[in-house]
Amino acid sequence: MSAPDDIIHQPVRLRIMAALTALQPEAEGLDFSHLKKLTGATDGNLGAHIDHLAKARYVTVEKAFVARRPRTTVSVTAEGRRAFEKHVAFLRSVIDGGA
Amino acid sequence: MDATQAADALGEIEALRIATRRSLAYRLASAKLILWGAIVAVADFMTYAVPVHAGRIWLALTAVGVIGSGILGRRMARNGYGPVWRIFAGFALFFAFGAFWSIGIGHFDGRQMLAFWPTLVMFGYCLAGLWLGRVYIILGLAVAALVAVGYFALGPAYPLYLAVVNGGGLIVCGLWMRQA
Repeated sequence: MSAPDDIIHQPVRLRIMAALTALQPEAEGLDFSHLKKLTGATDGNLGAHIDHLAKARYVTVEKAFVARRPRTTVSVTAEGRRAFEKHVAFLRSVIDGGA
Repeated sequence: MDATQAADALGEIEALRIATRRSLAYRLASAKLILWGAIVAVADFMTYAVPVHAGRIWLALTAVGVIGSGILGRRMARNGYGPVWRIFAGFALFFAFGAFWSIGIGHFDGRQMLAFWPTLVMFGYCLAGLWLGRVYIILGLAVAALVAVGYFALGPAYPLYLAVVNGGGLIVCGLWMRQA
């Protein structure tokens, strides 16, 4: 029987992971402001949840200057992608009555 | 967690994945729209200012646009939207089709050329919009309609009008897509 992923289960982190895993594995990731718009989270809230996911090694955070402006890009790791797929499988098993 | 909560979570995941893919595609395409909007606006303005050189101006600026699209296409390729050669192949097919009808068969004059190419491009946008999102369909129909209205309603100022509605339309749409 599959189990929920306690890190991904939280709603904002679920939205972050859903957005990041929608990209192709070779994609560049999403910048912070784009992710903020997609998830509807506030700056502080989003930053805290990204830190949480980064500590679990589900995402990587890259900071750079583009056209003299700071830019933070968040990407999902292979480990994060696997964890998310497992969590989705758990959700499906709940619907199917298997959990 | 019960089945209803799980279904809600899955529904939210699916909605976010669709929104993310669409939003990223819009953002990646926006730079190209702005580039072509600027090229079209300059070319139309130059056509009005120095009509004897219109053909050469359009050829040179179109070449700039194709090269620029190839450079911008590298970022799209890195994000899984297909290899860059498809962009060049798309342009080649598009220009071959347009030239076949406008030059080979139609023998269009300058004014007809000015109306034909943007409406052909906008037809392509409408088709692409069936897969990429309705903003392309709205842009395609709106600009094509304005190009047609100007063709019948305006005199020598037609190229200037096109610089605003065609070039400006692409730029405005590109700016909107950048923040989508």
